[in-house]
Amino acid sequence: MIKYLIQKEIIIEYRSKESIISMITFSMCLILVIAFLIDPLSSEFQKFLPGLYWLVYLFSSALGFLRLYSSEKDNQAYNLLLISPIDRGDIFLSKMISIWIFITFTQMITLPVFSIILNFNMPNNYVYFILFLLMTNWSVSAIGTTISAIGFRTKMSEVLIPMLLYPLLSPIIISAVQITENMLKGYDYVNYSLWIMIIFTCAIFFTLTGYLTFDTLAEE
Amino acid sequence: MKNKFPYILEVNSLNKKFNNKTIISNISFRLKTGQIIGLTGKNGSGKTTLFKMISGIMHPTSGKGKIKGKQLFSSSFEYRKHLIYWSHYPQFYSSLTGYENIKLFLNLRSDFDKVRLINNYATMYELKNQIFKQINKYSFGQMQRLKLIQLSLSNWDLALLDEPHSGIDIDGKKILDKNFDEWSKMGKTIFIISHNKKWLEKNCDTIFKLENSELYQND
Repeated sequence: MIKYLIQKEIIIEYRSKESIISMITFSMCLILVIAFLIDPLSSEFQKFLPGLYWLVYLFSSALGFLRLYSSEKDNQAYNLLLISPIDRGDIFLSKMISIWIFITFTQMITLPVFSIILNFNMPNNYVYFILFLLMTNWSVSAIGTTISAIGFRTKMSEVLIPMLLYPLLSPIIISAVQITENMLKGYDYVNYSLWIMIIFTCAIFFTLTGYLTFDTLAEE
Repeated sequence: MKNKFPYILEVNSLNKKFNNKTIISNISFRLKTGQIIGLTGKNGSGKTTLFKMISGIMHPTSGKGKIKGKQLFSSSFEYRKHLIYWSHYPQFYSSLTGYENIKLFLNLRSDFDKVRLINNYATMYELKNQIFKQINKYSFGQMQRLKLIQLSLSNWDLALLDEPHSGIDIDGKKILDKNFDEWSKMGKTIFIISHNKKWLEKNCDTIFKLENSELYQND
């Protein structure tokens, strides 16, 4: 069933382009603002680049989470899923995998731009760096999908979702900044394994929490 | 042969409260298999809430129920296979075409073999030129006809229909009423919310009325 649900999410995003376009546009604007504010070639500035990158990522991905259930709100299409004889955890997983794909796609475009415009040198070990990005995206997607499910039915969803999302994403973003810094300096895994564990634990914990509680979160 | 389930739906002591306001108060009822049953009541009396609880969209405050022997209001999703709910909202994804919406609906109900029949039914219900267009290009009446395709193609035992005649033209109403009779003869049960008293009296075997949070029956 997850296959059909993910297919649906991708078709809807392909036609509406609501999430990806807004995430990319917002990221590009932030990168340009940063580039005009600070001299990208100064060595002082280079220290802040990992933090700035994850800050851009944090705010742009929040836009994706705000739009995550928008197609379900129209015409009360959400009921079509709720009345279906499927495990509601599958709805959560399909939403989470879809937003993970959209965030990763956005990252594939914005990270090279960030790297070129702000003179951000990628870590030498590309494979580990990409795996780390994918895992961080997974963790962020699990938290964001759960929070969006809590908030999207409320009238104040545009206020409530960021209010809950940013505090919960903070440990992930802090860990991601630390890992990126360590990777850029070429340090061994042992130096940042704790930060990796934090992201990994959040990914597992929030995927399970979302999957198991979605039945309750989904109902009116 | 004796019907294994003479009553398709059994609901006992069902309650629903919103912020301490009682919407449904301790109602119990049974629906006979193969009947057309009407539900009437004033606006805000809780008719849609009752349908949403039965279909699993909303949790009751308390109460028990069974559909074809399977527990309602439980975490199991198997019972939803027997149900179909026609809300007064379209319940379609506006960025998907009519065909894609029906296909998704059928796939989620594991009615895979019915997907190939969508075009035939679209022709039958005069939606042939519309079926591959996105839902945001449909009129309300066309979306109601699309729901009719959903109902005709999927396997269900109990249909909960919330004002199915609204927005449908005269031809559509005739098709709908004809289908009700056919489905009833096939042993399917239809539970309909309607404000059209004459229609209910003419077509229904049993009529329930929701008033002051309680359910009354007029045979």
